[in-house]
Amino acid sequence: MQVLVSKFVLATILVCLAIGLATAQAPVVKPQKPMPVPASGRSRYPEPPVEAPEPLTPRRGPNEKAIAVSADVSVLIPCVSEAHVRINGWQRNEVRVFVRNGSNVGFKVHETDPKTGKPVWVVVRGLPGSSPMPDCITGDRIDIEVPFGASLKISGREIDTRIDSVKKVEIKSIGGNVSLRNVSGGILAETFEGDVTVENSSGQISLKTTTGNIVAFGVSPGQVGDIFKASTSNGLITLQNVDHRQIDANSVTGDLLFDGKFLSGGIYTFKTSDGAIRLVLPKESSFRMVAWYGFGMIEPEFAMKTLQSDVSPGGKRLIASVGDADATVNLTTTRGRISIAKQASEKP
Amino acid sequence: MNEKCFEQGTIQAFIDGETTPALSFEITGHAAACDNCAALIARSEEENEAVFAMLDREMNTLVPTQRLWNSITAALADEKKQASIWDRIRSGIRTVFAGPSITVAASVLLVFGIFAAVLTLRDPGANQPGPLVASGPVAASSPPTQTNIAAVDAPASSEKVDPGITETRFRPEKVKDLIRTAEYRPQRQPVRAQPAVVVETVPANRYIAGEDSYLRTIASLNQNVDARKDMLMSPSNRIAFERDLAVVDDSINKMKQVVRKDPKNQAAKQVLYSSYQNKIDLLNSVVERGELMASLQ
Repeated sequence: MQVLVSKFVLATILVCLAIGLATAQAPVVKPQKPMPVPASGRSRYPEPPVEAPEPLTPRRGPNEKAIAVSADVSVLIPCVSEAHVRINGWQRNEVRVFVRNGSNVGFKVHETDPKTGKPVWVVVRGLPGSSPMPDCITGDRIDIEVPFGASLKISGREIDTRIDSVKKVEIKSIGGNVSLRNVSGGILAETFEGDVTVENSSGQISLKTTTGNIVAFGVSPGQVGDIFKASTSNGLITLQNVDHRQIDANSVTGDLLFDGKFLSGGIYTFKTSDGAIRLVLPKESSFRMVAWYGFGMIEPEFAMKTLQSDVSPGGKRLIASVGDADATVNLTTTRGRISIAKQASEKP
Repeated sequence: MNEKCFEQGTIQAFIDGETTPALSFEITGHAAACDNCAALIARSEEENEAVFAMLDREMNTLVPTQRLWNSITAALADEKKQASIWDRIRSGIRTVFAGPSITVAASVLLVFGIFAAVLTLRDPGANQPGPLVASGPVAASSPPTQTNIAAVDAPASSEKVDPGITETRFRPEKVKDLIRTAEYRPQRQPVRAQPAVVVETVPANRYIAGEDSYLRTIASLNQNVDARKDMLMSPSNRIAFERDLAVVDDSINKMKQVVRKDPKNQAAKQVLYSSYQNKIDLLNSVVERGELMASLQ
């Protein structure tokens, strides 16, 4: 009888252990169908969802992780060594990271919302042992989904980055192109070898590259006083429909092209050492221009009222006004050509 | 005495000059109209005079004392004027040496001074020229000779002592000249502070205003970049960097030349500053690149 009892107790213990182990190995995230992301109707200023905590999406493999977060979460990716990075905003209050053919990733929550308990500051990093560089993420491709209201901060070495529909972006990379669109709350993008492209975004914007071009179109300030800055060493800067009232664009050896309008009270500064400056403006433009062109030349299509003109070898200055001189435009080039043209549709 | 009459105390204070000007005017005005008060004031003044007359002796006791001091001071001044210089010196010495400690100190100083004077006077080399090699022009025919000027100057002695005189073949005029030259001592020129003379040299490539700060920044960045640019930049990036740097340097040099020729050319200055800023940005990009690389390691 005692033998039977002892066997029964032993069997019970074994069964309990097995159940416990099985529970521990079960996936943390319950498999659910991913919620479809609407292809259109993405709001640039999305409302935070009021729905209850959502179930997390299923993993696609060991290199995918997800975490439920606050709608205005700050996501920090401190190191991406080499990858094509695609970051998209979505309506879910969840951050999901997928790394293809690369290191395993993990989340570290730095801060949570005291009211909801959801993370408001999340760090995405490579797990130890899965990447040659500690904490760095590497792979062929990294897909990250974040809430629309998320703010991103990324540092990387050789990364080709595309970011779409988030609130704010701060990205620094040693090499690789950066493409940003639908960023509503401001951009700071720096790369040392690569192009920077910004489309349909707003807020304070600072774009910088050493060897590469900068293209910005459909950009507007988020609030009064927001500045647009673009700087490259030997690339071309193209600004089209940039509605900031203060624009600083500087290319050492590259050309500058501005196609848009000067707003009343705005201050626009374009500098290049060896390149050309070309402004394409509406015919009803109104601005006061101060042009410094050492060995260069100036070709305005507008009828200008010359206020001051100094023409001496190596040092030429022209101060002139067009219309009511509502905006101030500073143009500096050492030996480039300054041309101020009317927009094509308005030419006679 | 009507109701406006003043009290005795107030009138006494008025006589003593202790009332305020307003009250004094009021009292005098009232006394002009009030016979009683006028009489009271007059009576008080009489009493005052009687009292001061009785106290006059006591009150004047200090005056003779002051007079006495004045006469003493005057007498001393007269005496000083009449005293001769020697009397004054003697009295001064007496006063000074009245204390024994000062007397002892002065004695020690006197002895020390005498000793020092004796030692100084006995030092023969202090004021006399030493043996001197004649360095005057010597004819080729005449052999080089030496003369001991000290021996020449030495007084003749009756004792037969070898004076160390070497016979020379100089003429008397030459010897006289040598002596004169040997005895010559340049006058001691006191060292005086001379006003510093700053010779302002204008370098050929003087900085224009504000240029030095740019140059300092560029030098600092250059130092940082030169040490690390091979490590930080890939070959293609390095080529692009050097090309950009060369373009900017060329711009700077051209604009410098223009500004040197015409320092008032504001446009050229502006373009020069812009070129400097471009160079700073260019160098700074390499530094920032290094910082980013370091943060990612």
